[in-house]
Amino acid sequence: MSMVDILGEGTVTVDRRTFLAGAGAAGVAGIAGCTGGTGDSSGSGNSGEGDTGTTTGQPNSGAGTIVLGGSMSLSGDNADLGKLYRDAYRVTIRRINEAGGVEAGDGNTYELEMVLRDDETDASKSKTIYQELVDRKGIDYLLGPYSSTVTLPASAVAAANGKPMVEGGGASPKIFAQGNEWIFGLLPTADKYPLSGIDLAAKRGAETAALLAEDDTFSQSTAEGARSKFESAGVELVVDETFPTETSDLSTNLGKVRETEADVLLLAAHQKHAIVMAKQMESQNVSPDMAMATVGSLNEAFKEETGSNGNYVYGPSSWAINADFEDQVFGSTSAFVSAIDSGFDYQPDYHSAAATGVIQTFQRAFQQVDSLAPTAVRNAIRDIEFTCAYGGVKFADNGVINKQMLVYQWQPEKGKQIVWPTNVQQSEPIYPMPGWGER
Amino acid sequence: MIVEQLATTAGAGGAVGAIPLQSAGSIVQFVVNGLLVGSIFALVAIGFALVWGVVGIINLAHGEMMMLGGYVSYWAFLGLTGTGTGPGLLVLATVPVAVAVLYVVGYGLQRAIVTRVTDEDMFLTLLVTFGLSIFIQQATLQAFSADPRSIGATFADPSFVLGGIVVPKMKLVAFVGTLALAAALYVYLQTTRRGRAIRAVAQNPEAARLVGIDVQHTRAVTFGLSAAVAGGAGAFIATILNVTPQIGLNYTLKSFVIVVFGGIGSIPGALVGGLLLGTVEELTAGLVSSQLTLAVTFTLLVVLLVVKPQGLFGSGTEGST
Repeated sequence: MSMVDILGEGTVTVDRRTFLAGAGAAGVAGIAGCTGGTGDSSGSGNSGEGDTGTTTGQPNSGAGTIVLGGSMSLSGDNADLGKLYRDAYRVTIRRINEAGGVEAGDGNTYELEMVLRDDETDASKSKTIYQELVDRKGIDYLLGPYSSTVTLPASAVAAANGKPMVEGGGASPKIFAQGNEWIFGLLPTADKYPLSGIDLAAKRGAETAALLAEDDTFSQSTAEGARSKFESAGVELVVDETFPTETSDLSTNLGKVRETEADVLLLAAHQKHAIVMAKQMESQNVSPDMAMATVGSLNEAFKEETGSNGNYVYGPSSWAINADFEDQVFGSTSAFVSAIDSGFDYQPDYHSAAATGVIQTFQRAFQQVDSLAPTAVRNAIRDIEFTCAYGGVKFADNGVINKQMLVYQWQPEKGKQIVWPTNVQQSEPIYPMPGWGER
Repeated sequence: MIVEQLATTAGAGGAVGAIPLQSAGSIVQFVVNGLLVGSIFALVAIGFALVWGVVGIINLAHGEMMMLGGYVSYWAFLGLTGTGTGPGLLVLATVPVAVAVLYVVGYGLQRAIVTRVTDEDMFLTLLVTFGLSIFIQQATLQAFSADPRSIGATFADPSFVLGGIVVPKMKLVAFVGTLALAAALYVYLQTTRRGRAIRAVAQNPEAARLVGIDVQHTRAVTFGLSAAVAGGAGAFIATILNVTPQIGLNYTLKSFVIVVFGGIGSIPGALVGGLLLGTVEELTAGLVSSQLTLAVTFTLLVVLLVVKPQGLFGSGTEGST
């Protein structure tokens, strides 16, 4: 396990690298450890003497520094997405510090510092990291990891130690159904993902639907939300199939969709299955009025791999890159997009936007409390309400942001378009999707 | 024939109203789907059986050979077309590339690493090949990212429809291609001098050495051939499905089941076992639920091991290739 200390200036110190312990040891052995950070925290010269049990004065931080700590998937299966969070954390913290730091409610000004360790996309490693950050580093404010599977046990550490955790990478309702008062999530829960799309279909007259769901935690939560919504919208579910994550071929399940002539095909799964769906719909001659994948159908990789087969496919998102939200740190959503683009050479997606929301949630909470004690900060987060590049941030009683999903559709001429809800749509949805013989 | 689908297993939510009856046509469709995908399982498993039978190793990195073959085919296709999408039959041009590259990879792995533990305890060989699989998987993840990669093979009309049965053309091409590769390997082993040497090493390496066969080279060739056919299968998988760095383990597990099913070291056994596995999986998915495919498959495996421990085509001894 490598450790990455990201300081106020965005300096990265890789203390030890993960390496293979040798094939004879049957796999990868992580060698954990860390050394002192190299960065300073001296940008503003604010004194910010420690008080009230904050992390001020903890290792790697001088007086007037608040340390945020967490684990992230910086290697392993979700490394690509984990790096989006790391980059957005870094650029947000850097901007805050360059602007003079956080003027906390206790009258002092602090710089932010981050300790982010690689959990290798492993839930048990992540849990160990959080416990160590709390016990040995004395960190009081926790940044959540990526994915529901990793976030659920990590959030239990936050609760057990009474430390607020704000996360932008876990969307399973289970995370927020444990009675945990210390976890706050910026992603709408998984059961919300299909709702706007089903609204669209119902408004357009859909009467029957087919649901194909992967059997992982996230997708099952999505499927549960979809079943309830189909029922309340008066859409009959004529196919309801759950398939194992290992399933590579959807032909037989798509054959059922073809035979029932369902108006709506909803895939609650991840990107590899979204690609298979788009490819095999043609070869299996499946032509519903609407085909939507709840995850993995909106990025460029999906379109590149599916080509014209990806046209007309729908997908939900909690964020729009072309939205125009005010942002106290960057100025606006477009300025945030530019900061990521110029700093890291890629376009941010909703993961990146949620990540800047995580840091800014802590920033706003620090600004509002008289004392930086964890309980006071947690209580401030409960009442927080602000707008940033990600959109409006306000948490419901269970700690989840209340945010409506947008629905995109890949359109042949215009590309990816917001088609629902109507008050933000860029184009009318092409509904029904044309049959394969008409394309 | 009419088979009633079980309402309680149709879906996790139990929200399905009328449960459709499965017609004979549907069942034929499930069988066709199973045979088409099963041929690919079979080709991967044949390579697995070959190494198990000849070198005496359960190669846990075998699925990664298939995965690498998929990436080789993908990048070759991208090089040919520039877009990753092109005529379906052009995919066939990338298969020999994947086969050749993976032969070299397999040969090299055996010579450089696996040969050092070939005659050691089986536990050590399992550890080494497992370590290799993790290494290859992580290296591929770093090199190509976790994004699924897929070849876009185009046809004027992507499927045949025969009596209501849908047969995707690309899957049919893959079916014929995998059977052709399996047949070519079988003929090679039966008729060529090197093939006879491989079979001799499988039966008795010591005796083979005494009659002048270079056992180490023969084993490396075997490993290369095993990786090559897996690579060929990977090329077809990249076309009809997609490849990711993590895809290999699933195919290694399937290969293990198929080889035990068909009989250790038996190429005909692996072929039949693969087709059978594909058919059982699709019938289970179609008639009962996709969630139960693994449970049904492994239940059949346990039953077979109890009734016929040597597998369908196994003789109970090694080297029946």
